[in-house]
Amino acid sequence: MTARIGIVRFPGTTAAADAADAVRTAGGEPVAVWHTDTELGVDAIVLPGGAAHGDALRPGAIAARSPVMEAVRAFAEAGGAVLGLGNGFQILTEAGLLPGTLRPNPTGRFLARTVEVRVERTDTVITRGLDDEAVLRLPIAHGHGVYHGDGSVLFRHLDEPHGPSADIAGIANEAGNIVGTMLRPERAISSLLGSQDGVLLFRTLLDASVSSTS
Amino acid sequence: MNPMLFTVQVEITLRDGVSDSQGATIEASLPRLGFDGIAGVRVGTCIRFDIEADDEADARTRVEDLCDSFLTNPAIEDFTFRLDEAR
Repeated sequence: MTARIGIVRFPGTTAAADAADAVRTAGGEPVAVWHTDTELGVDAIVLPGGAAHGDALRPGAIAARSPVMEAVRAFAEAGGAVLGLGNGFQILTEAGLLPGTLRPNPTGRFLARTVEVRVERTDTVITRGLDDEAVLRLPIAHGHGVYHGDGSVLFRHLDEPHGPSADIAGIANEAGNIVGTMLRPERAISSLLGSQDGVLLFRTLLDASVSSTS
Repeated sequence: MNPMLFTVQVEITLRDGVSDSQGATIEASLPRLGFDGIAGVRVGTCIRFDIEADDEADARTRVEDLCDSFLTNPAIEDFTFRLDEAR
């Protein structure tokens, strides 16, 4: 069975097509979900990157209160796999599905580069089966990427893009089915893009979604 | 009862201890620009709007709810607001 992965698009989402490409590369079927939808009908949810509603008020603040997020909340509470990437992570924190918040980069500058991170948990819907403390090379591209909160750390930066005291690159809830990260694995799906490590995470997401709904 | 119209000005500030890179950047630039003796620069947000309500108490309750549930992130921000009857 091919896993159907819902890619939620808000006004201002820019990476929905990248996320759909990554799902296809990993062997899944991307399904477009609109921010006003109230029925999902998918096996997993990806909230892609971008700047929903132009980051007005706070990144993710308006998107988190969209109709679709009630459906995403119910899906997550039933154990469904939910992955927020970049702005998608910010939306998950604003929605209260993950604790904490994302603060502006200390330099005040937008950061876009490939970084190395260490995997701190292998019990989540995108890291099951990876080696403990595996190191991945993945891109970041954000202006608000400093995690402030007490979430359970999933990825830790190894090369300090935000300085030594801000090394959290992603978190997950206790059950491991809701994951948020400022990493952009959907942009690391080919050696032509500098890394294929993103495919590993999407394949795991597909496996997790098929096993949770079958 | 006819609804009353109030003008509201909400001031949102970062809680103490939450880093403010914009404030720090502004503060660092001040001596170079010839503004001496200034410290503790913090950047916040001001939001103005009008609200229709039954009376002032109703307006205050609704503005507080709006600020708590949407306009601020209570984990890192505080707010105060000023409310005046519109003329």
